Amino acid sequence: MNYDFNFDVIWRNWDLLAEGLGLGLFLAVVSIAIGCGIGLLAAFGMLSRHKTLRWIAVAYVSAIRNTPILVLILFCYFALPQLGIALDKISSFVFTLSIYAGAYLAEVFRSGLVALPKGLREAGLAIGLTEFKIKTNIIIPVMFRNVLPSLSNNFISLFKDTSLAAAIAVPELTFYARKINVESFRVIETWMVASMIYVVACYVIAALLRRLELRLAVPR
Amino acid sequence: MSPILTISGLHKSFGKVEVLKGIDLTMQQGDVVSLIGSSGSGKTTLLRCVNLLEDFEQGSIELAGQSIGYKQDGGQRRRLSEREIARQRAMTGMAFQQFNLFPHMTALRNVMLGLIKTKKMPKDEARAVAEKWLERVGMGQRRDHYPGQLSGGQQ
Repeated sequence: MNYDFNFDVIWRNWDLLAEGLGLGLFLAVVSIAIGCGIGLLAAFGMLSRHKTLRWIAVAYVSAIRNTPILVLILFCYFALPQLGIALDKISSFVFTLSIYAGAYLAEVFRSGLVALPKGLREAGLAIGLTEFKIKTNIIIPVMFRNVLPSLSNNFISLFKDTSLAAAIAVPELTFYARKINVESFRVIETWMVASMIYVVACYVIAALLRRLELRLAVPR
Repeated sequence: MSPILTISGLHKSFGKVEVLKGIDLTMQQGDVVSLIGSSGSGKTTLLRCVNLLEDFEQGSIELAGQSIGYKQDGGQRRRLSEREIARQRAMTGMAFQQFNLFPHMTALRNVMLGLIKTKKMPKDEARAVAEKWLERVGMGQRRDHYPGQLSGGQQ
């Protein structure tokens, strides 16, 4: 191979890549926060005694998990405005990623809830707590700690999925990398650096989440 | 003196298996009563009915003059609201065979939770009460330990 590597164009545009990385992290954090709320509701819905609630939750999870995320992104950005729901590109992407995250997290939370010992709820009932207080003070905190490793995997996966926002011109890392590539023709250098940034960012996120796991772990 | 607990004609079934067949029991304040019976004879089920962890089909339970779990409304037997049932459950104490402590809370927080959330006690007061009782049962030194760090007896 006779190729002269030249990273000058990358250094000149470093601020754009950093800005794109920042937006990608922001999109992932906001989406997973909203997705956690949706996922919790869907998980409780899937385990509900009410058939209609169960059906709605299962239908939502199945529909979203069986649709490619790129199709969802394009649908929400291009098709929803035709139905009168117009969102700007960042809001549209956050909406899509939240819905998508919610469906995956619903399964994570559902398995966490099923694995909890029945006695926890009964202990809450025995001291006079209402179902709502049992959920907020006991069930969700214990379940959350148990599913944190799976949640970390989902967070990293969702962060990587923010690269798909480039498809609707959201100015995140992949969008800027593509712009630099098109303007400079330094294909190898651009995508090599973009990949490295993703690898390092994911590694740092994983390390931080691992620390959080250890900090919140139930002492045994 | 009127009894503190009166159970009359209590019936409880699990599917087709009738476990409690018309139990009658009266207890005065200060009584210590042991339930003795073979495994599967319904001892735990009876206690769970008193604490409404199990619904019962027939009969009544009166605790300190209050009908537990159900009321008669126009000749119909109706279940009380969840909020009312939660309030009634707080009138009794229950120690589970498997302890059922909250694993994400220290021993102190385990004792404080019911006082704060059910009895609506201010946090500082609840802490003082919990510390006093933990001290009394020899758990003062272990109050900041989690259930997973305690021995079976300590739990």
